[in-house]
Amino acid sequence: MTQISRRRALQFSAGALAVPLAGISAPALAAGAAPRVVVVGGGFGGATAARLIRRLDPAIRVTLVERARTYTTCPMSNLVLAGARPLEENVFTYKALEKEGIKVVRAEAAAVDAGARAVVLADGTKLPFDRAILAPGIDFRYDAVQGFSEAAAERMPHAWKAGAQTTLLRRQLEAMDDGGTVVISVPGNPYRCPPGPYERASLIAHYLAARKPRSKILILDGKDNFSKQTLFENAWAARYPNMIQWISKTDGGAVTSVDPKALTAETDFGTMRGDVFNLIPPQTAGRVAVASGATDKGGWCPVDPVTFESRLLPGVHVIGDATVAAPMPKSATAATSQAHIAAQAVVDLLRGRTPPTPILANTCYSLAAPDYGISVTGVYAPGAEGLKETTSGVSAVQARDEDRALEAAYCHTWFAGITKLAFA
Amino acid sequence: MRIGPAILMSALLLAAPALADQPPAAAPGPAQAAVAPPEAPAVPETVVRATAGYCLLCHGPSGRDGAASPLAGRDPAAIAAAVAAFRDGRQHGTIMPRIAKGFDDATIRAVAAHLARTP
Repeated sequence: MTQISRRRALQFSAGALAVPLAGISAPALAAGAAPRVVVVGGGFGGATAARLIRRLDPAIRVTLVERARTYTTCPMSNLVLAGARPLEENVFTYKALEKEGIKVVRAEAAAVDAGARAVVLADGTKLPFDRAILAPGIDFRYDAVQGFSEAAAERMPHAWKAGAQTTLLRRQLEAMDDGGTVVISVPGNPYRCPPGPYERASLIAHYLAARKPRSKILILDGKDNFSKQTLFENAWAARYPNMIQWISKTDGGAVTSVDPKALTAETDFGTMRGDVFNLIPPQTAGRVAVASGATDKGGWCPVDPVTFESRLLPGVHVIGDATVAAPMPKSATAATSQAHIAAQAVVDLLRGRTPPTPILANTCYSLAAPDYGISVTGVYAPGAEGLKETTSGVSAVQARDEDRALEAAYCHTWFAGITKLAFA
Repeated sequence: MRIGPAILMSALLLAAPALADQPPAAAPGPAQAAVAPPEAPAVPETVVRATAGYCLLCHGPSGRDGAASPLAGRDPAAIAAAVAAFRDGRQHGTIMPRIAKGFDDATIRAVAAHLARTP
């Protein structure tokens, strides 16, 4: 098929869209109508999945629903907090996706109606689909910490969705006097980016050590151990001695309530005050997943590990941070790996083929300092209950400085690669 | 020169000098075959594409400062031999020795062939 005739075919079927097509049936697909896929959410998972479907089967019409004009990545945003990177380098647009023939709808998706096979937008518009991919990321459970709210996050930034919150937290760090205390409150599992809070502590320490060396960082944790713990603790001892204190859940680190005006938190350890208070709240799958009925009691989306089709909503696949995919962590690489699997499964299922057993993989780099990279890697395959780890591991505890520097360089190469795949 | 000596020393580049250290005899016999033996089940194209996509996150054309060498268009036998060497502990590395343990010979060969065909 030539480029022109393909476009003509697309226009033809786009015209047919105007006619209400409640629940297009398999016979209609067999008769040659172009299958329609709607992707909800334009983060790493959603953007990558939309592009891969177009590449695998250019006849499929792909719509991406995303409320924001640009996407600001969480990966690398801790470098912004350290003053070591402009936030603009984390901002990406959807122009490349539009050029590839993906229809980008700038709107808030209210819910996916799996029965009617349509994504319902906040203004009531319905986008019909043959299969949908939900990639809504996370939302915050503001009610889980007494005294915390969306408004309170202007005083106690979460900075756990990058953008204005990242800039706000950076400004607060810049304004803090030498000798101040930065409190980072970390939720219990599961949450987006398990090693992220400790990378954040590291890179804020990197900034403070150079500019405000009498300052302290206090991590109040809702759990008793964390990702790459030994590696982080060794890096802290070597690079920022006596600057970072970590209080585990058992030692009273879990935050039960906060006073945003006073910048204090109640814990079993006592009342803790920060001159800067970064409260990373407990999380749930993105609001649209909850509204669609795609979430379980825990607030996350259970999925089939072969196709990433929702176990609750037939015809709807869920990928990324919103899923129950443990032992895969909630990371950009995991979301991208799941996007590959879901995109191929969607195409296979639309074309009447059986998706084969996949292999999934994750790599998460963390920067304990700009020149000190550490990583966790894992390879996964479907098991009887869900995903199973084939193998996993973290960077060597004893390693040469040049290996740490190499992993820091890889972190940047990875970021270039993963954002290119999703957005460039 | 773009590639620093430290990086070459780490042998993570899958570079020709590192590969030259691996005589053919050191690699597992079947890994040298151009195609999988007939009794071996074919690796699904889905698995090959997704795994190649994972490799290219770090080993894409946008690799900078010499870190994580680009793999597209490279000799597939060289890629497969290097991954097997990482996996089997014959090659020092930072992250590849861990990742390589998740993949069998047939998958490594199929993914290497796919990467070699990637423009």
